[in-house]
Parts: sequence; structure tokens; C-alpha cells
Amino acid sequence: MAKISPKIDDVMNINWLARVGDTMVELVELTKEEIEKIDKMSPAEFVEYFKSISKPYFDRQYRYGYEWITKADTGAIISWLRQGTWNEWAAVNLLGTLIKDYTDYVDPEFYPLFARQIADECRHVLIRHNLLKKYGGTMEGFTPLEEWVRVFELPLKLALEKPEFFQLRFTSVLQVGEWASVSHHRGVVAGAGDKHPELRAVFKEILDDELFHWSIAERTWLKMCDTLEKKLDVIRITQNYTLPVLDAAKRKRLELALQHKI
Amino acid sequence: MVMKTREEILPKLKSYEYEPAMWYASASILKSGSKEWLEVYAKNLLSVLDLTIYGFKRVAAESMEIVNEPYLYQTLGYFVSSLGKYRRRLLNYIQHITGSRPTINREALTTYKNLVEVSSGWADFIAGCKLAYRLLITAARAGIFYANDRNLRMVLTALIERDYEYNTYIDDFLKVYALDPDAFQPSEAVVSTVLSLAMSHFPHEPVDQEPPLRWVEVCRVDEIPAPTGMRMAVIDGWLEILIVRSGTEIYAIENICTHEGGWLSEGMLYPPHMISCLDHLAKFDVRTGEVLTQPQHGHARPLATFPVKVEDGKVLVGLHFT
Repeated sequence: MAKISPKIDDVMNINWLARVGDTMVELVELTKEEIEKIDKMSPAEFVEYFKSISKPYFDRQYRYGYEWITKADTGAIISWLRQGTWNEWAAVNLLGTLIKDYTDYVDPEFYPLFARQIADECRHVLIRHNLLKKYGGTMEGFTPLEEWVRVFELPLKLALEKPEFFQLRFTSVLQVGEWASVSHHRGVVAGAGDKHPELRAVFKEILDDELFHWSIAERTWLKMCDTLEKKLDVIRITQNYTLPVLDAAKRKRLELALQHKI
Repeated sequence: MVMKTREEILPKLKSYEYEPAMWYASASILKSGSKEWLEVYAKNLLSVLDLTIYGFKRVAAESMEIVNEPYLYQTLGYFVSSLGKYRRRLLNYIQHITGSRPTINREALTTYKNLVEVSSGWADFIAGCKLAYRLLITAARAGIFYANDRNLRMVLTALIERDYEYNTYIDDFLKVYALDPDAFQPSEAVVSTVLSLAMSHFPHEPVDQEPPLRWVEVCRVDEIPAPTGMRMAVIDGWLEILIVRSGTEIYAIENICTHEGGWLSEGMLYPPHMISCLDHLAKFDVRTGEVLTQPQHGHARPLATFPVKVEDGKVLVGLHFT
């Protein structure tokens, strides 16, 4: 498996993606032999393969979280939590829209899982907001970072580009983002140590839910990734869109939070 | 550079737009035919009903503007005492299927306390209670059409029977504090509090859908006007179904509009897949039951749909109850 330099695929003509051209994500180039190997994989083997090729990315999200919290002061945590609270609410809206407007694109067996995720994200809005208040912050005058708005626009945009792969693509963005958050928050929890006990407790609680949210992607792929085209689509969407867009959003948030600018 | 507002950047759903999530998720677990999920469904109904009761009891006890208005106080009393009766029937049912009678619902009580804490005033609080009530009725409707339990259907039919009037009552209460109750939206914190309870019992695993338990012949294909047309049928003496033909496709939907009970069989069909109720012009997708356009006032919920197959020129509708 060879590494290639970062690039953004513009096949889908989503112009704003060009702006994350400075991404630090190392994309995986699939050789002919690699593609043949993927073709022979069962959906379960494919899920494990996906995890293995994405591991370096998720390890980096852990480091981002760990290093950031060791440098963060109260103002930085407030800034970081403001964007985080909005992110949870954006997820609630996105999932509500998925079921309200794209009913027939979702496998009925998964409706309860998405409803459950709505309940989790709602609880996260409340507990993150409470934590924000404990640190002395509010959501007053908040405007979300453009990079994070893109994160939440991406699932439906990509899914609608290929409706026959709708749920595969939706989960390849939103649920993979949940896994990125798991790594990131694990880093924050580990780095917080005894310095920020409340923050550590809240993010430990959120982590469990985020693992479940990531598992919705695993379960979707286990059921639906039964052709080479579908497997390659999942890899291409995550490598070319999800991971770079998430990386840009997470780095921007950490950078601006340290300057108390969110 | 002109800064965009949050609403412009990412569309915000209205509180009632979370009802489809409740509807489709409830329908899915019920279509699994699993006894375990039936219990979870019934207990979830009880949680949301309890939250609704706690909320409106607080309004009756503490909202002086409503307490001092005889008409409002009377309707509120009637509404709350009716909810209490429905609760008793639901408790009886849960005791019947589980062998034990639920005691006080701590989860609903905690959520109620949170709702009191996060709401920014009476309008916000009542709008939160309204959301809980609407989610309750949405979930109850799924049970009527998809649960394989006649006893539960009796409980749920009573629960939703006066929904249209109760919605009007709730809007009357809300109107004391908000100019346009139909348009008033609860805060993010209130919506989050209600949804975090109402949808928290759904599973962590996909739920396998069982095929219908029986197929009922409702008419012959040639009895439905072609190329597009409708025909009403009644199953088991209570379930009004509308059979819709659109070209070569045939669909089956419930015949009663989910807004205020208009008959869709007297409505308009817009090929290929939209049907409109003539009472207040709510529009639905006949394939999924999705609400395509909300009515002029109030809000419609997703419509029940049923699988259809054609055999020997006969139209058969699939049902998940015996």
C-alpha cells in the first residue's frame, strides 16, 4: 500500500472542498493488488481493513486532543466547548432531516438506531452546555466555524450525489466523524488528567455514545458493502472527503480555541 | 463581509419535524414482531406520557394566568385527568404483558425537573410539553397500525381519540404566553431535553423486519380507476385503507389524514406519488407516508403505509397483526 500526497478529488464539483487543500491527511493509494484483495473481502473483513488503513489518521486525532488540553486555559476550554455544543445540535438537526426528508433512502431496520442517536446527541447538547456554563461561558453571540458547517453539510451532499449508495455515504461521513471524535476525546480525557476532572467525566460519558454512533457505520457496511464498487466508494469518500474536511475543522477549532476566538 | 446567522448557515428543524424520527423508529421495532421490543415500546410510551402529565400538572399548579382563566383552567383539568386515565390503562397493559406494574418513573421525573430548569419561561415550557405530547401520540399511532396486540390497540385508540381537540387546547394554553402558538418554537435546550427522553430507549442494533403476518384481499386491480385512481377498503371492521394506483404501481395507506382526521379518499391524487387531504391541504407521499407539505394550520404526522402485492388480479394488503 503506497502513500500519495494529499489531494482533493473534484469529481463531484463541490467547490468549497478546494479550501481544505492544505489538509495534513495522508491518502492511501490503492494498487491493483490491493483492489483485488478488497474485492475478495467479506463485509466484516472490509470493516477491519477500513479500520487498519484509517488508524494513522485516528491516532493523530488522539494526539491533537491530548496536546491541546495540556496547553488549554479556561478561556480556551470555553471557546472549544462553544463550538462543540453547536456541533451536537447540528448533528441533531442533520439526523432529524435524514429521517424526515430522506425516509425512503434509509433501511427501515436502521431507523431506531438513528432515533437513538438523536436522543444521545440531544443529551450531549445539554451536558456540554452545562459544562460550558460551569467554566463561566455561554453560547451568546456564537457563530459556528465555516469548517464545521461544512462537516455537517457533507453527509447529505455526498449521499445525494449517488442516491443508490445513500446510507453508505451518509454513514461514511457522519459516523466516521464520530470515530474521529472518539479518538480526539480519548486524547482530551487522557491529557486532562486531574487538572480538569469535570471535563474528563463529561467526555468519558460522551465517548460511550460516540462508539455506538460509529458502530452504525460498521453495521451499515456489514449489511451493504457487498460489492467492490461499494467498498471502494466507502474508502474514496472517507479518504477524499470525510477525513480531510474533519481534519481541517478540528485543527481550526483547536487553533482558534487556544486564542479564545470562538 | 456580511456574517451569516446560524439559521442561514445550517437549517434548523422545527420541533414537530422530529416526529418522523419517532414514527419510523417505533414502526420499525414493532414490525420486528418481538415481544421484547413490544415491552420496550410500551414502557417508552409510559415515560413520554408521564413527562407530559408532570408538565401539564405544573402548568395547572403554577401558571396563574391559566389558573385564573375559567375556560382554560377547566379544559386543562379535563385534559390532565384524561391523561391520567390513559396512564392507568397503559399501566394495566404493561402489567398484563410483563407481570409487574411499573412504579414511579424516575427517568421521566428527572427529565421533567430538567425541563423546568432549562426552559426560559412559560411559553418555552408549554411548547416542550406540547412536543412531548405530540411525540407520544405519534408513537401511539405506530402501535395501532403495527403492533400485533389487540389489547394494546384498544389502549392506544383511546389515547389518540381526542388528539385533535387536545392539540387545540394546548395551543390555547400556549397562546396565553405566545402570540402565535402554531409558529412558536421551543428553545434548543427544551427540545433536547424532551427528545433525549423520548428516543432514548431505541436499540443499539438494527431491528430485523418480519414479513406481514397476513395478507388480506381488499379489491380487484380492475376495480381501481386507471391509470391513476383510488379505492377505499375497510379491514377487520375498523381499519380504513386507501388503495392508490399510480401507473403500474399500487400502494396502500391509512385513509384518515393525520392532521385533523379528513378522509383522504375524498382528497386529490397528484401523480405519481402525492396525495392531498382536501380539509386543510396536508400532502403525503403514498410510498412512505412522509408529510410533503404541512397543512394551513397545525401539523400533520407521517401516514401509515402497508405493503401491497397483486395475485391473480386481486390486491392484497400486508398486515403486521393477526
